Amino acid sequence: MNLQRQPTALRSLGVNARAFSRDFIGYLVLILLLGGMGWIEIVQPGDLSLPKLTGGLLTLDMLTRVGLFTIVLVGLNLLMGYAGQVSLGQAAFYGMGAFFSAILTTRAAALGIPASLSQAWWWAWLVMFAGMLLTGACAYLIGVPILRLRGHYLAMATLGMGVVVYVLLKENLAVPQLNLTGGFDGVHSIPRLRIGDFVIWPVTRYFVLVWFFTFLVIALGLNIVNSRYGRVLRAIHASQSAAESVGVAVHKSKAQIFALSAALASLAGSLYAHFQAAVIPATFGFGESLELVIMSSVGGLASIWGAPFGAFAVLLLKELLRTQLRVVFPGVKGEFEAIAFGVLLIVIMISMPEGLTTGMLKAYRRWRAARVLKQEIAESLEPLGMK
Amino acid sequence: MNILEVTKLCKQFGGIMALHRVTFQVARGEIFAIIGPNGAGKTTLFNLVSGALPASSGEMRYKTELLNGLLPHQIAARGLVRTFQTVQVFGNMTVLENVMVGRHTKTRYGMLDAALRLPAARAEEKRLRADALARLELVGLAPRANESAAALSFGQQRVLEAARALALDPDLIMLDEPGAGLTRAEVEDLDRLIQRLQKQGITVVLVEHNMELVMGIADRVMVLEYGQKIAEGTPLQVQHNERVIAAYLGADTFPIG
Repeated sequence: MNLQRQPTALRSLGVNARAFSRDFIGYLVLILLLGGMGWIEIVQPGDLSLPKLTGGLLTLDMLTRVGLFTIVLVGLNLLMGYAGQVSLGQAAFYGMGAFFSAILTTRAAALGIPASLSQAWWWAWLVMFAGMLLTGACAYLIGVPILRLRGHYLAMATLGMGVVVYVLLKENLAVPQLNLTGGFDGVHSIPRLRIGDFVIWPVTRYFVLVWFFTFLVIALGLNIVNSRYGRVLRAIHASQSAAESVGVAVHKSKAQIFALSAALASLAGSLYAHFQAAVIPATFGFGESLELVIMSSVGGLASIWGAPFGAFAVLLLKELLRTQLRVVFPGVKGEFEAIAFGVLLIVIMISMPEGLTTGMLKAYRRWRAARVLKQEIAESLEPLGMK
Repeated sequence: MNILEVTKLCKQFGGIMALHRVTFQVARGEIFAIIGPNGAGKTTLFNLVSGALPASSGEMRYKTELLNGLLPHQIAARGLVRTFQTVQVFGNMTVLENVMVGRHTKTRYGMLDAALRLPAARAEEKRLRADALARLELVGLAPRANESAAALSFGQQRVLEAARALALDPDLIMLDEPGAGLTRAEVEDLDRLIQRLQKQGITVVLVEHNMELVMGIADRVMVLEYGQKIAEGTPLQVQHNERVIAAYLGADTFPIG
């Protein structure tokens, strides 16, 4: 019985047919979803708008956040899902990008940068790019020693790194006189991004910008996964000693992917800074790192497509609980939604341990296989006059 | 000419001498077998030569270059590869991808080429696929190229591991108990494969318990016991060596004579 029908034409061409069709479906679903929601919100046909349709649940603001988290999660999935290296400190890189952009676009004068530079429209973009490079370089230097650790030890080390960065941001990088990071209060009045005189604001424009970057990052992520680097990451995950035995420089590869994931987090951080126009250290603490890991797991670790869907699912779930829990259980207060969130996470992780995307894909394949089997049984019984 | 020269190699684990002053040479192109009772230090020897463990003392030279202090991936890149006693295929990849990882050091395109899928990356990737498929043809796994490596039988995983190692175009391959857990038919395939490797000019060092296999194909055999070399020679010489017989059967309980 042929339960697994593979498109052999594609296979004979040497194309990984399964990966190809999956990526195609992924792009299609995402474009349709976002395009549809964005269109409703921007055009507002017949006095409809997204918040009206969804009872205030979905807003462009929220979808923009999904895009930002997706950028971080693509990096985190490469690191955790593919290479199998846990990071409980990813928010540190997110914060580094955010504060790098925030500081260099608001305090340029105090840092002695001439106005001809810092007032130019491309300055913020340059800072964003430089932030990625700097954060990536930092991550590489941190990664070389700590990625020698494995499992829980690596988790502890990255956690420690996250705490250090958080404290540094909170304590003005240990130089209070300069007041660079603004301490607890953070940095305010971050300018909007511009292209020439075209300001990328209000949120409708920013939504398009963020998702432009997000799609770019998803495409880059998919390309890396399907390249020699992607295979090396999976090899390291499966067996480090076997990867070494065929000539893979394991430690260097791990530090490289750590740096790449940090650079992506930094990009998202910079975009976040210009989105919120204000950043505070509290946003980039351990809680945020943990939430990133949760999004990553919910979406599906070893899948680039898990990133957007994980971010979307978790943000939606939190928003639902925040707004709807009081309707269902009147009189509940405070931390109750955190409990409900926790319970739901446990349910998701038990029923779909590989995350939503992989879990649903598998459920669909099982359903299809069962249907084919049923049909074949029926066909084989027909000549016997049985039904 | 010798491709591998090991001189007075020692490895100490705490108070235990796992290897004690082991000296041997492997000539280019030969099939060199290492046998010995369990715990004799065979796998430790592989781990030292492949760089997985540091040697306590002694010298290892591959093509006259000193191996001491090199990392496993550096040694592999020089054309000296090994397989593992406990099979270590990448179960999260297809059979073909496993072999493609084996050819990692033979590819050059950078992270940026990969991320942007530039022509350089695509061309190299295509060549890589063909090269990997050729290795699978060699070992007879080509029909299963697109299946998950985890779906292969134990014996086929061993063969895949060998194919992955061969993808590096090695000059010397070290097989750690390649016949363990294989069926009779699979052992015969393995026998043919090793002979084919020799014909291609690849030197084979193997640790193996299957005496029929070892005595049938090895040019020379070295016998280890408690970390020391007790005999070396052709299969025939080793088979009639009294110390070897004693080591395998136990001299005290079954005196030979």
